[in-house]
Amino acid sequence: MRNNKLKIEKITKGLIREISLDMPSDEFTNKIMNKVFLEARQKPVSYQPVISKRSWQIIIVSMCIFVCFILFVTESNNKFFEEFPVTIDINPYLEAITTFINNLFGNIQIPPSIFIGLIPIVALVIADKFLRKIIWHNYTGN
Amino acid sequence: MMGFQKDSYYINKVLAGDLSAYSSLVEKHKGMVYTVALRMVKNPQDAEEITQDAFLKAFRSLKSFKGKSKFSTWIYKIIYNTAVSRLRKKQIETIKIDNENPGNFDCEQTSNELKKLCDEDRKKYVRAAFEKLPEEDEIILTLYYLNESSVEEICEIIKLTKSNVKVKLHRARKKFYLALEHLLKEELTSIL
Repeated sequence: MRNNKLKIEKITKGLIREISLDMPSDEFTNKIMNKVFLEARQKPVSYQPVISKRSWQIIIVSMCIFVCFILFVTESNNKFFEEFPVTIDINPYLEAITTFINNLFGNIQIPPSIFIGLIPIVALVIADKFLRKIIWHNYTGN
Repeated sequence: MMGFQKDSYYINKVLAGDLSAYSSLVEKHKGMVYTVALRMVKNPQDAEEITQDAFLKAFRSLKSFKGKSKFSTWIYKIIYNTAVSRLRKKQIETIKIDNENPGNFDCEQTSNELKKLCDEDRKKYVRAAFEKLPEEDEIILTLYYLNESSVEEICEIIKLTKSNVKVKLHRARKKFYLALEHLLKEELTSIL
């Protein structure tokens, strides 16, 4: 029984293999490749941001934690900043910005620590946009 | 025949941006893909058109190809589905041979009779017998015997269970031999 089945399989395979594969026209591959290249050219290339969404989330959460730490955990903001090992004296700038914002919002007191958090974020946003433009320009040649 | 690398080699190149590598994939598989299409739609122009569609669909979805199955199985599945939807659109009526009870056949005798014929005539009869089969039977026989696809691969391509494919394969083979016998008898009657 099994031998008979194998025999049928062998004969059938031999017979069916008598007919070779059908082939499309000679220009078939070229036609497809033309369409492939055309599609690739037409497809808008979406560029990836230098700083990914995930990185942004991590940065924002870290900054929020940092700001909260400064605002609520440290005993005194001033004491914290006195001990903070900053070599560049940014206090005059921060004071100027604080005064400006205080003038705008009246009695609302915004501690400098908020700006310490915000300034790097703004700097990163600007850097991201700027770098993206440069990379996009180099990529497209426009 | 042109020597080809493994499919994964070309796929990785295409995904890395070397689009011209896709032509090797097309060259490697166009014969079988076109054959499957032709067996389904029975018209060379339609077959070429849907083969093109299938290769373009495969190109567009190459990123989603996980490599769980062979690229060939994946593209045969695409061509099969494309052909089925084309047939549905065109509402091509197919003449079906009795599916339930194809009758008995003598494989060895038919094969011996065919051996007496010259190569050209033998091919002509085998092809003619093939054309008398319903599309699905043709596809199953083509994939199984010509392409040496496994039953599991055929299941994936035409979305049938393993036992279903085995039954269909058995019936398709029977119908094929019956068609061959019928054609040979016709020929003999015409000679006499």
